[in-house]
Amino acid sequence: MKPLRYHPWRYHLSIAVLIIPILWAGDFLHTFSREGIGVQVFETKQIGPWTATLAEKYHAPPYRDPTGTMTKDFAVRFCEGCIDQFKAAYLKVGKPRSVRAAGAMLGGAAYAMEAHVQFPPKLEPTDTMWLTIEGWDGKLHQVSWPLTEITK
Amino acid sequence: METPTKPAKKGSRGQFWLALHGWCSLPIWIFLLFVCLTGTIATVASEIVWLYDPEVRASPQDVKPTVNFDTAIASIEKHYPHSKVQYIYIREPYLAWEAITSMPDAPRATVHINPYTGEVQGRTIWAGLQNFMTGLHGWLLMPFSTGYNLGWYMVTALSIPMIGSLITGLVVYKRFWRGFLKPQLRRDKGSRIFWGDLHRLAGIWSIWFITIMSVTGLWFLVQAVLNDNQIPTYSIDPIMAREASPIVKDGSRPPVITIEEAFQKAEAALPGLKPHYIVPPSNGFDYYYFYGTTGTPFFSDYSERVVLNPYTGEVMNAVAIKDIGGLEMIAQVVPTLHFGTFAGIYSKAVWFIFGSLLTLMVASGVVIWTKRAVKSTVSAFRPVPVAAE
Repeated sequence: MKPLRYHPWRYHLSIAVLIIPILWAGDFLHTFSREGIGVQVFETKQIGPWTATLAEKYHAPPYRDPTGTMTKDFAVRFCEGCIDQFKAAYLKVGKPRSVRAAGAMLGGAAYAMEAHVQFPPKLEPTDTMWLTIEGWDGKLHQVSWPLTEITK
Repeated sequence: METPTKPAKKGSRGQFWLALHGWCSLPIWIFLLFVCLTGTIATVASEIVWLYDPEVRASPQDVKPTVNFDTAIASIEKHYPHSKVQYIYIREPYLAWEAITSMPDAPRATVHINPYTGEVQGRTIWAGLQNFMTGLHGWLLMPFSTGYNLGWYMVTALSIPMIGSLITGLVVYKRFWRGFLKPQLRRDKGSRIFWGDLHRLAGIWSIWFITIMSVTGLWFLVQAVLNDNQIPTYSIDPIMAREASPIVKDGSRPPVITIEEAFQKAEAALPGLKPHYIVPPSNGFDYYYFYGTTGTPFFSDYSERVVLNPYTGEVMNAVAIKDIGGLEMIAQVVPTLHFGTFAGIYSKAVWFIFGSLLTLMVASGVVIWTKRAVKSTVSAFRPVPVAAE
């Protein structure tokens, strides 16, 4: 093992690591800001008696979760005071056929409910994101957004 | 090396170990310094905020026991209409309760509740210094989706060179135990001698601390590897069955027990439970979660828990220390050792002091190396030895 020779610049290269927190600080701080629903907010739509706004959570392409499933994080903001008026809401790419296959259940902050949504390996231009609301009475309400402007 | 301050002889074993000592941390010194520094600040981040922000303070000596959770929630809802509490942190007796609350104008605001009066003392719309420093130190602020992120792996991997630095450092510093009996910090022999003395002196007094930091850091790496490979280091709570969530004909919300009622039942299920992290249901299939401790020393403030059905009040899961298995037990002890939270402000203060020393060790190591390297480079070009600077 040779002693470290005096090449100052070489041993200061680890400063490059600090690029990571600098790059991500924006998204981190954004999450807790007034607009902390997500980095890209889509159109607000009517769904049953309520309204919902879809958002892409991070500027990042879909990732593989530990089980190997391609996944992407989304958030939904519902109208003021609406959250307790229904039982649950779900996100899915493609139209769900039943409530049991409605996709990922939303949870977390009431005005930025989140879900890890299963994502197709290759997104088709016709693919849409479906939001399903399950009422306390068991009734379903649905609305969809096109996924053309998503970070792929 | 004859004495710690003389440079190692060429080709000697001492020189080999010194080189190895340098290789452990010099190539990554800025990253290491950054992690030590941010970790040190994270240890006392809540206390730093306490100093400048009266909204986060609570004075236990003022009065009486803490207020009923229903009172706290009611005062938040009155103050911030249409808001919904996502979770509540109860950190220290001298800190206000932190209710992370979703509001129409801020999805993740932190409401500061006086635990002894139930009053809303204010709200913060940003991550907060504690979260920010913990995130900066622990995972370089990268987002968590599922599993552990790259930042977490990068930071925890530093535990390996840190263990290496400790071992090689003790080998290089011959008879280091003499340093305890005859501490020396020479200020009159030039800056290299001073920094060298400081590095060794801080080093021997930090052996225990560096050991704790690197071993617990290594566990955080192991924990990530295990969990990301489907070997959980935590026990899993039951999920509400579809049928268990009531269907109401007219579409209105079914009655649920209040947070205080739920807490009373949790306390009955796990007597002596002091809650530190409370999560009310976030949708119609969710439970109440009360994470806390019954006071077993060195176990984290979140190591025990009770899970309750909000519709029936039924206890779905109650986990006491005696119920948790080997891996989970390690996972519940390591954080208190790493963060120094086991004796409140007193252990945090000790951790802060030794964290600062560790940061100084990285910095002084670099200073020594730079000065030594400059000297050897210069002397390689000059036949006469240069004077100590």
